[in-house]
Amino acid sequence: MEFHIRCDPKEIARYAFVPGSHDRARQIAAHLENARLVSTSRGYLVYTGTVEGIRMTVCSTGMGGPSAAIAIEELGHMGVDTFVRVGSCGTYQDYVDCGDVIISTGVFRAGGTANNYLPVAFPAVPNFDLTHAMVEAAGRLGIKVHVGLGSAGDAFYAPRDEAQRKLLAQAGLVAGEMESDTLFVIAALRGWRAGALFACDGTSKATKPESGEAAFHQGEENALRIAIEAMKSIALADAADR
Amino acid sequence: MEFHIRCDASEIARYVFVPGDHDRAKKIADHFDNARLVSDSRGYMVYTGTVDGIRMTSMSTGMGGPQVAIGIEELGHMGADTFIRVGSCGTLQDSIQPGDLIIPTGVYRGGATGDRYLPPAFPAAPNWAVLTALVQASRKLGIKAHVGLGWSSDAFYALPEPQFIAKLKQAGVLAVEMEADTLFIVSSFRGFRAGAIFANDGTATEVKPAWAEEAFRRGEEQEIRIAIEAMKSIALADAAAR
Repeated sequence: MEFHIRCDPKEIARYAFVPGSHDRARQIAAHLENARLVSTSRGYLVYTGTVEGIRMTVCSTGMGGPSAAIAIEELGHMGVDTFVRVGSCGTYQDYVDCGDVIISTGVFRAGGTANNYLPVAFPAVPNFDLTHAMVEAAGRLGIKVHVGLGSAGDAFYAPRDEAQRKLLAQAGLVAGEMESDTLFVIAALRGWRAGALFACDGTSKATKPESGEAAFHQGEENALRIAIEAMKSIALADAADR
Repeated sequence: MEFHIRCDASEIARYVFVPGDHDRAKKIADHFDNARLVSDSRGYMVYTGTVDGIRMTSMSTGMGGPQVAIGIEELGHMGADTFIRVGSCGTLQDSIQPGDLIIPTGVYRGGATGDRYLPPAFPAAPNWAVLTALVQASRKLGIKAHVGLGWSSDAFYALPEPQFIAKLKQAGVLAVEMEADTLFIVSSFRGFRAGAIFANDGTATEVKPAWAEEAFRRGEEQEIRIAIEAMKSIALADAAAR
């Protein structure tokens, strides 16, 4: 058995959603048929169920690179090879509002965990097929998304380097969050497919404003519907390839 | 007039192909209607013509980051905002043959020029619209292309550590070349759209073997066709969005 995610490997599906938040893991599991809680150890809430007969797992990673890295490594040991992070984020851009959904095409590696795997010059980018599947799924569901770059860092409350923030905003970064750098880099090294999308809970001026909360929760629901739809199409393509 | 690309700004199109090789710049221009050599200074061979009535420019950048950066900055001053690198590459993967095409989703930042713009943690990734246009063009033309990671380096003849190469190989890096990192980073910084496609001229164990030349030349002609088809679809989408 794994050191931290304590369950029988048979309980884990090939396709996994990896939100940071426990509540969001529960929310995604609510969209699965016959979802069962298969592990709760170390704060990883792990549910497995099916979507139209396709087995899928949801695991909350907690916040930040270290706990995300352990989660996806152990899920990988148990047979997961396809990960979609369904996260929340803030934003660098004035044109992004609370509740907007952002699909990541690459991320600035401000976190430290992935540096233990591959040097910082290695690009933290998602798998193309998975990302393309999410963009297509958003189109089919009629949900507007932004598609672009983000940053992922370790320290939510650390003092901000305003000069760097300005530079990164000019270079077009859309989303700011804390886990996708680790996810993309480890998935590359291990040969897994990973993608990420986020619901924005702030604006370029305000961090998690209360006035944006209802819009954010709508965005969160949109993001997880896109993720499930994309995962389904990836699983169907895998089955057709076999 | 610009310092290095010496021509009237009106001679430069919005859509530009940026191969490294001078001969390839001419080969791309041979696909244009009414192609004219508009500048030949500092080794930048610049041709402008039309494809189905859309004005396009083809310019050789020469090899390595410094010349790429100067090339696309000056093209940008003259109104270009969309770049496709049509390059050659080697490979780290045993499964990739001479003549195979690779469309990068991100590259390892082995070059130093991009560091003067944005720190190494910033992902060297193509613009999503250009990336998907290239993948879709290859499918439309029925030409197989690998879609994945690359490694851009400054030093063709330097000897990297075997361990480092093994790690990038494990992390799924397909292509090795010298310009995409700079192109992607400068483009992100300036708000340009950039993508790339490479024709492979080697194997995981051989650098540009003579026996691979014929297959490589076929791949080169195919990547030119894909790049032109992709650029056309981007220009048509721009016109429709107006």
